[in-house]
Amino acid sequence: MEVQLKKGLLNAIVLASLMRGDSYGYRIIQDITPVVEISESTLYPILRRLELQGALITYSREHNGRLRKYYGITREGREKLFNFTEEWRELVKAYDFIIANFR
Amino acid sequence: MNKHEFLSVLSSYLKGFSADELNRVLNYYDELISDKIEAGENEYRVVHNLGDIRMISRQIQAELAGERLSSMHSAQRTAHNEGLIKNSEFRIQNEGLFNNNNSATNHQPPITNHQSNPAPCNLQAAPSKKGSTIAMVARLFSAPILIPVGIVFFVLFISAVFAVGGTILGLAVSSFACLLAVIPGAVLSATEGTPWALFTAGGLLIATGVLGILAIISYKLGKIFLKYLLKGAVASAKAFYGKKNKAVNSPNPQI
Repeated sequence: MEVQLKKGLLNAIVLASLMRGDSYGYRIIQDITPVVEISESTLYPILRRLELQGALITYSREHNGRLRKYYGITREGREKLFNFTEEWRELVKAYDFIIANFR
Repeated sequence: MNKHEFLSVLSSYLKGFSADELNRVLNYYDELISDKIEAGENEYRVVHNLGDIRMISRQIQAELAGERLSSMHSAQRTAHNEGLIKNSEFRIQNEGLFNNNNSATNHQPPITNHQSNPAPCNLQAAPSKKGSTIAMVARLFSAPILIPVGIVFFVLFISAVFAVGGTILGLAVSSFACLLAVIPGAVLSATEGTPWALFTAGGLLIATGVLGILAIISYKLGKIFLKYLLKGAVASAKAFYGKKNKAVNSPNPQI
């Protein structure tokens, strides 16, 4: 997928993956990979930026003798995601236009 | 390269990161690699699959260039997040299972960027604090002037009421009296038969009518007159009072 388009989607995809419950790095990647190609190095800045924006919180839990970092979506994160779904309608209109002219 | 080596090389590439940010990155990869190893992958393969460390460091630096926090600031944020852990005791119910929506919605951190719009400035509302004390003092001192003025207005109004009312009443009463006087006049004319009595009776009737009409007209006029008098009194009082307020609230260029 083209980079620019992908970037905008990734934030929403990551947030969406947290909607059903808190998750951690490894599992997020596993959940997302079927949908979009993402590397570990791409995910980290996304998670960090979302955290800095207040869209998610983080906390640590012990797991097998080591600390695992969990990410959880916040109210702001949900709003962000909702806004994205609203914007997506515009995107669909654009796509329809493109497709109509492409044929 | 094993995990430990990977992390030290990555650390050396991440120049300019605060200690806090650096730890975050390293913990992220440490945890990720450990999870993959736990899932059964070979450590060296995992590290190899992560890619070129220099590329990784560049990507992270580029993505977070604008968002880098000082170590002070991120410590505060960490403390804030750590404080929320108490509320998140029940966030993870079962390892590896999704939580339902309900538990995730509880105890959202109070991070709000929403700012309510300040109420629109109403200049006619209470004046500034400095202005109001001056206004109060002015009102206190002007009271001896305002009170007599108010009394005068009041007295004028009352006397006007009486004047108008008296006129109306007088006209009405005299017209009624004329009406009453018609009766003996009619009787007189019937018994005495003199034309003078007739003349008296007729005259009295006319007088009644005229006076009655005058009474009605003066009543209507009186109402209007009094209404405007009252309005004028109120308006002039407001203007007088308002002028005082305006003078007090005019902006002081020295402030």
